[in-house]
Amino acid sequence: MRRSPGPVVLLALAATLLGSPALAGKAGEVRTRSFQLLNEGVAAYTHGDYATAVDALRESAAMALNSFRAYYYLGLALNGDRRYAEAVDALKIALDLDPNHPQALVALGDANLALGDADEADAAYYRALKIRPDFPQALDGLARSYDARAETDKAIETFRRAIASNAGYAEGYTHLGDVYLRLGRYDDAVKLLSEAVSIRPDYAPGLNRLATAYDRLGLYDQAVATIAEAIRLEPKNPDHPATLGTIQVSLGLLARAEASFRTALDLDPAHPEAREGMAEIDRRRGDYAAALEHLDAALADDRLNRHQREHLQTVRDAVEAEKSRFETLEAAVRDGTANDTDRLDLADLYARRGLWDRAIEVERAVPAAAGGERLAYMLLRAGRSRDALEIYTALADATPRADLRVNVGVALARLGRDEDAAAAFRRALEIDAQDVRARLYLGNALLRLGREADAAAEYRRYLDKVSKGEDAERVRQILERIAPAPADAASATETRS
Amino acid sequence: MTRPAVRAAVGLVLLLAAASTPFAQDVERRKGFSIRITYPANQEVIFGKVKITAEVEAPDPAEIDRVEFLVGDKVIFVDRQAPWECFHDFGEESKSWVIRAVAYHREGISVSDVVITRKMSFGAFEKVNRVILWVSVTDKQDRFVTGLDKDSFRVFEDGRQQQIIDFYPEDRPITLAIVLDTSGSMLDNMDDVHAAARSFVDTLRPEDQALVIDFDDRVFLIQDRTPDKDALTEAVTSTEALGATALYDALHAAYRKLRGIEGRKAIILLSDGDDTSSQFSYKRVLEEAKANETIIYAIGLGTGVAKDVLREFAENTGGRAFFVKKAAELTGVYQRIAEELRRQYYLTYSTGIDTWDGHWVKIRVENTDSNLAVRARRGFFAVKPEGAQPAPAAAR
Repeated sequence: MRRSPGPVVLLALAATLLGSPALAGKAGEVRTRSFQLLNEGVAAYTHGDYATAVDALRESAAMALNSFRAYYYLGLALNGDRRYAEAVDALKIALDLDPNHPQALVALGDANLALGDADEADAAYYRALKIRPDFPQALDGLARSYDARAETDKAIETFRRAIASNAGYAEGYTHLGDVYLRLGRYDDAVKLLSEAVSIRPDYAPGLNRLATAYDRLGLYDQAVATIAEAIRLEPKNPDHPATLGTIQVSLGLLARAEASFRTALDLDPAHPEAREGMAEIDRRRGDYAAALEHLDAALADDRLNRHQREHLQTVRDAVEAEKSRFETLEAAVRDGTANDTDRLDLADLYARRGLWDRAIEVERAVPAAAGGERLAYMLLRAGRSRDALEIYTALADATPRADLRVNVGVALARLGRDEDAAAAFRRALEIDAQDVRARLYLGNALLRLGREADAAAEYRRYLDKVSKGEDAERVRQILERIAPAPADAASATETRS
Repeated sequence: MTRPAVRAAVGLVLLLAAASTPFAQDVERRKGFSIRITYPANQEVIFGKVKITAEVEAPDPAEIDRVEFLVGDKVIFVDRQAPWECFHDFGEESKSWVIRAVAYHREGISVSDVVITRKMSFGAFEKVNRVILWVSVTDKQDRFVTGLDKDSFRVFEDGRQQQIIDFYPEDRPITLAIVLDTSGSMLDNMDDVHAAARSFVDTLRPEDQALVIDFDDRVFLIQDRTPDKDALTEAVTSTEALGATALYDALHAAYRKLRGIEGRKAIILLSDGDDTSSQFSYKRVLEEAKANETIIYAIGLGTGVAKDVLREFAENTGGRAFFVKKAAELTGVYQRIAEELRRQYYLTYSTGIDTWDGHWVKIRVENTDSNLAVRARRGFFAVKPEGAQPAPAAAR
């Protein structure tokens, strides 16, 4: 029989709930305040508001000098805020206070890794593994360390070990997905990242990377919806609006992208992805000075790790070179000293900035380029499909090349003449039956014409030749919608259960 | 998430789950076959040439095929017979090393052990090979002796006399950490502690600065570094007795608070008992004490105090340990410390060591008058500051 607690027990419980006895004066205030700040800091960290968390936890740790939690969460928040050297200091103190805390060891490894000290990072991860063998976070850290040293195969193998040690470890899927993203294995990336957010639907970093993967695959609607969910989960994390901005740049929505990047920069004025995005917008607008200013602001941030710095420097060098070349070419055209090669180069630069009409104007000023493929392509990109069709048709009639006939089809499709477009793609396939682009576009044209069975047949022929890549992924998604395979769906359910 | 994506990912997970993990042990097959690295120990600090040793146990030792030693990912030695050991030069830089030993059985199975050494962080280091010492001199009646000149001092480093470069009586500002034990056992003494600490604060000169830390099982900074005597007095008199004793945590916290501050620094520690609840170890904090220039003055109150521990901290740093039976005697001790801080000598010499491998370099300071007692820190670790260029090989 259960007995009700006696008065002594209740008093003891009440005393426990009260915490430390109230202390008067300065010493008492310090104790109370440090505890309050610790709670505020942990709450801010949990919501991804790292800057606020750092402020509160730093103040708490400065008062409560042997509080493991204050130093540990301060280290985590500093990592989140990319202040890695400071994170190392905080986490070392935390680990002096609790040397056998595997999560703190992994966080220390992460900070060292971000600082480019892979040896110290590995030591921390191995210490964690010594305490808890097969600890997925530590294996994941080791894998990222291999990845940072460009030992990609070892990295992938170790990520797999991390996932194998805990199939519910969403970070492992995300980081491996990130490697695949970088390797251009977008299908594999999407699969892993989808798994990560399936395991943990509230895992915002996983959603962020999945959105990027969708962006790379050209699945913009999914990309935007996914990143919107990440923003909802972590409204104070600048990574997410920065990724949204990058997606919007892909869509050509420069004004919206600018607004997204500005949101990210309000949260972190030196956020590298946001600064790079702003630089890209300014570059496209021809404002090279502003673009370089953004990149310099990003490079001035001493929180950048080596890879980020190298990448931003490469981008900056490219923008600087483009600026210099553009100014030289424009001056030459203005002075009348430009030759045909200069004009073609200038047209190229306009094209790279998406200024198709300016590119066409300059290209047309070169007599040898008139009626050529480059001009036709620019016309197509500028939305002047009728002019493009005229040139492509003339070129295709003169030379029996499958690619030219495909472009005739594309121009026709843009003009809404899908029946004619389908015919053009068929002619391209008569010239070269292996032309996968003709096969894919034929499927698309047939789909738009409502001939789903014919379209599905063409898509399957396309997938026989192309099994990977963004187009293949999109084709599979379309096929899933217009001609689903019931047997496959059933087996997926069984496997999952 | 799209359904095909789920399907493919699940397949991948199943494939991954089947992958072998080197950390998993095939216990049955390895029964009786094991390896342990016996040196260095986990979390030890190592420099220079080090002998790595391992013990391998097997039902039949003749069945042990070989032992591979690895540092990081690199195999540094393959040993084919006992004793299982090898030498490796870890260089002059303090780093965390991952050292592994893998023993292979003739049947093909293997077992491994790993140790991870520790990167040592130094709060202070010998700047441009110049060693700084703060020296206190007392006569046989324990009175401070002032007015001595440079020639009356001799400095020995690892037994070899060194030439003193700078010398003068120290009267520059000092930064102090006043560390007060406020554990429950101090309850009856708090009024005297407050009065003594207040009197000590009164001795500070306007250019001096101090901070106040109180500790029981938790350590709190009650007042950050300030020259404001009112603030310091308020801090030292607001403490209340409560809880256990985290002496080492408090000392380490004081070191952290003083880290990066230039000039003479001292910790004035008051405690009435042995450490009962620190998370920092004695060894770790003593290492910190020896690696810093900060002087420790330790005051032990009552009979429960760990005298040896307080002496060890004080004497290694050139400070002094005081022991009193009653709290009423504390004011006198604090005044004595205040006086000592005003009567020290500052001297420097150029170190003669050429091997920066982390070893302990002993320092001894003497006076030509053998009737005088001289106190200074007892040495330093031979570690170069991070980023310093290693000495040319020919010079080693």
